[in-house]
Amino acid sequence: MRPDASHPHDRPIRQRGELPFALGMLLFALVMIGFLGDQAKWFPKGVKPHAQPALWPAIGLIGMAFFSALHVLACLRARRPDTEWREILVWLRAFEFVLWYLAYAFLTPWLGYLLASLMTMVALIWRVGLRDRASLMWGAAFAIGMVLVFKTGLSVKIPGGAIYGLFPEPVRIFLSLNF
Amino acid sequence: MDILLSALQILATWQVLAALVIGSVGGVIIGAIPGVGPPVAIAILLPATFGFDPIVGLTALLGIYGSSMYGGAIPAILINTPGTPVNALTTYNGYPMTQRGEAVRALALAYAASFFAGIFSVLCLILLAPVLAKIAPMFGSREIFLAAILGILLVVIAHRGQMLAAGALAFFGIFLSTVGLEAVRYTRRYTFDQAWLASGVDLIAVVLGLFAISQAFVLLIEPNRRPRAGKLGTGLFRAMGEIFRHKRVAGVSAGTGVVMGILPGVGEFTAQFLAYTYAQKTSKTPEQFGKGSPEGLIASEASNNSVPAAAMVPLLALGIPGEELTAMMLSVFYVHNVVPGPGLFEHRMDFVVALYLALGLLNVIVLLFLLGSTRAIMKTIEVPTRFLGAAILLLSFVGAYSMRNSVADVGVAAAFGVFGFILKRLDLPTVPLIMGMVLGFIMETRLRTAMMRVTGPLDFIDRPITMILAGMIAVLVLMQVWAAVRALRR
Repeated sequence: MRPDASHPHDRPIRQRGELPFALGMLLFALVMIGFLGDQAKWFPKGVKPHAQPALWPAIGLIGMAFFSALHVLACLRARRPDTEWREILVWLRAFEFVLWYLAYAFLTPWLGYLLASLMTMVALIWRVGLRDRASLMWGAAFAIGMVLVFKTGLSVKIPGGAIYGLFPEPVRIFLSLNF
Repeated sequence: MDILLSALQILATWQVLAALVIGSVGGVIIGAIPGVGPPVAIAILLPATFGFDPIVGLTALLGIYGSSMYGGAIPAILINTPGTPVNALTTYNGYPMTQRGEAVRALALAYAASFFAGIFSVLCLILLAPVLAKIAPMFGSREIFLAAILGILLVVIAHRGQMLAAGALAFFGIFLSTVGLEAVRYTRRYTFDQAWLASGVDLIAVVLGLFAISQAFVLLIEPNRRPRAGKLGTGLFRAMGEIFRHKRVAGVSAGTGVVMGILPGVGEFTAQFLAYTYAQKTSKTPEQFGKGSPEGLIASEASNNSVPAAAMVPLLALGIPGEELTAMMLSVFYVHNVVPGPGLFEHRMDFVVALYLALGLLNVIVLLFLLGSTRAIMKTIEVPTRFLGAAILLLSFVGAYSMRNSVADVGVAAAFGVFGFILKRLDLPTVPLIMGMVLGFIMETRLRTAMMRVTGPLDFIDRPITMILAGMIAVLVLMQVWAAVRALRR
């Protein structure tokens, strides 16, 4: 909740990037409404409206389109911030870390949870500028601790790495179960 | 008495007690680290608890939920940075007290107020439980359907200044809840012939993305910070006695928290606002508020700490969560096939009382832990924010990937991470989306069941509770339309 804003209709200036966001939401809702007939069934006979599979997707999308359209109008009525579109560049910066995250997800089944976590954590904190020895050591310790808690301790379902197959059977089983 | 004994029996296992201690201590530490907060921690730990018994998983999550606000007060008072968003009001009076050299007094008052409110709210709910047990069975499908609509409406209205975005997000959540194979006629909805969408958009993946991964992005992208906590004097326990001089403020604030916590979508912020306003208006020194007033500090801490127990009421009695943390807990119930709602109060009252007792016990554990280790917790405040961001990103992977070992779930979580990051950048709320997802599913299934027995249009509201709920919905909608029309005329 924004403590300083009193009402949607009397905000003096909109948040930087709010208009592109509202437009994006509206566009998404309208495109999905365009798919309504194709992606959700409305049976012509014998099924009451409340039991139609398409009813709730339609409610969700129409409601979303309605509120997004009002949001767009409210943004257009409010005073425009100077650097509206620069905010989108900040949003795009998140994609670098999405790649880090997905790379970690792809590496894990190959290298195993322990090695993938260790490498990703140390490389990531190096990337974000924490390059002193203490930070790197703490990063490695954190990765090992995390694997010990979740995989060794709580036995969460993360499969063993493909490289564990290079080890003899008893070692492979031990590594697969614990790391 | 039998129920109480049975509840104690449920609690008296080493697994439950261990979960409670780990959850409580972990919650305090997580709450004390600015930038993490209970939603992030609960989102990460949620899938790990699916392997436990429901009571074990829930007590661990309750521990985090109920204790994080204690921890959040520490950085709010010492370095003017709230550990969790609800501790923001604590900075107004806590930090000025620290600047005057009264850090120990401020921390002691915050702990005492939180402890008092935590115990007060649990006692209220235990006393209220028999009443709820009588009322809950009166809620059939119609009542729950209308209560869910009321819940969504309150969540949207609670976001003043952002209602349009909150409305769009709530309906987006309703839409997301419909994606996948529909359960009655087995038709596919918005799957675009993708097999991974047939089982729908997973709530846990969305929660992880919106709360944990988005926060990791925020911390990784924003400039690195490393707060310094300074030094702390002694005499914490003795200073807690001052709470007895402010019994009235503590009592009213805790009571406000209980009432606001029960109402879906209202929660801590409104409770704090009302309690703080009351404390200021009735104070002999209102000019001290915002400059280091003990009463202001007590009002903010007591009101927010009495909410968690109260917020469990709509969840347990009706199966309707009031905010994001109870919405996350709902998935623990679903995973274990325990359906919260009127039936739970009717048939498993001991389970409900056990949860309340666990909430009471966690307050004792947290207080003891804080009295002995506040200095050690102060060290956690000093973790560099970018290190935290990297740690949260890695921890989020465990939750997303371990559910089904599916890279698709990881992708969905990452996509909602970006979406949550944008919402955080724009200062827009994430709660309406989660509530829309959870309540959208409840509304669809409950409406179908309810309509089986409805023949005429007025049949739907021919029972007292449905009439009251429908009236409340109509009044709230009319009030909002009227406010919008007046604003447009201006």
